[in-house]
Amino acid sequence: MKKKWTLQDVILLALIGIIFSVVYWVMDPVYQIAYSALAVIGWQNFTTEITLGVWMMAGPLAAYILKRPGAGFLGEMLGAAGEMFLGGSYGVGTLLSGLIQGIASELGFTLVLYKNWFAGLWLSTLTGTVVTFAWDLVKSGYSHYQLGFLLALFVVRYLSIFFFAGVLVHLITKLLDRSKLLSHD
Amino acid sequence: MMNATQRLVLAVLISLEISLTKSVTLNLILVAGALSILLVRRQSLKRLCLYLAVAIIPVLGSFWSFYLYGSGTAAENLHFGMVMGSRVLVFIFIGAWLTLGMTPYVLLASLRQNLKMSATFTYGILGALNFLPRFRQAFTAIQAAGMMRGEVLRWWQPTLYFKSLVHAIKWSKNLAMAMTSHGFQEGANRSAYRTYPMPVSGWVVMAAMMAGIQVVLFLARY
Repeated sequence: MKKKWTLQDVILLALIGIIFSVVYWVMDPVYQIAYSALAVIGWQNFTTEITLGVWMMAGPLAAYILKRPGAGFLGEMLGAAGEMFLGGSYGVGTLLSGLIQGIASELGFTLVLYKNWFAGLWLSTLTGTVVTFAWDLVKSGYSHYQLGFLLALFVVRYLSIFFFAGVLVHLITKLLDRSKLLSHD
Repeated sequence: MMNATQRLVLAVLISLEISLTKSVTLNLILVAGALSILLVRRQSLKRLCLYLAVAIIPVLGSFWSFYLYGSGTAAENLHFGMVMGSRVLVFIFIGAWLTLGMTPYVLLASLRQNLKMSATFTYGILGALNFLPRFRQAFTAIQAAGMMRGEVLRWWQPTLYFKSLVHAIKWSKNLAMAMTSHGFQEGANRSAYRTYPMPVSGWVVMAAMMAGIQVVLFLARY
């Protein structure tokens, strides 16, 4: 693990943030279409849970690529800030979400003391789910839902984060590792 | 009155406050306030309509979810639905106020001068922002290259991200080298051509806003 941020690391981090700010921004209308589509069968409350994983990809990916404490948090924050500047549909709320999601993903890598990045990635899907869900209990009024419904929401959210911020990120990093472009190791 | 750093701090404080409170009155006052600032500052009508257009579905969606599926009484659910709906509006219009006339350069330069963010981060991020149009070209090229192999690359496929990241890694090396060869020194002392001090009046406005919000919260019944 290296500690000092070089200019190149910062630029790469910012570029990852930019890639995902565009992805996040594109996801805003996708979310709304999905919401309307799911409303037809009365499942609209699951829209956030199904799609949330996409919004949490930047953090784990940045952490795995840059292998530095704080990279996960900063990558997610930059993605969120970019989404706001592009004119996303949650305005300044995205900054707050980015802050929470960044901390949530970073925590997974912190728990393995920034040593095992592979384990950190999988752990970050779990911490990502628990922390964002706890935040939604307070912020989005999830505590107003019944317990069974809450459990269902939690499971769907975990599956989404596991797939997008876990499996998909893992496949991307596997390609990067095979290409030997990451000279950190 | 407020510089970029102070505006950012105030916007985050407000969004945190309304995330943790449930007052329709406060939310509507904040929306009206932000909207009037946008109108006074001559924000283009097209942009305002765009903000309203992106707001419609999330506002109605948030409202309906809690109105229909809340676990409380009908009146409680109606109230909470209205809270959640109006909260989205506050986020959008406070976000619009924050980004009004603020460029990433001004924000990053202010953060560097006011909060001692390192020059490596400030100029690294600024340099990277110039690649935004290049990503569009790269994205088209990646998709065209895929088509030539008879593959349609979709957003959920790792290949698309991998190829974008290959570009990003290459560009970050080139840009870092270019910045260093133009005299950028990591950790060196820098002077600033334009300064972005945090005026006292900005702190006063911020304190008054936050105090006003607490008063509204205390008085508001709904």
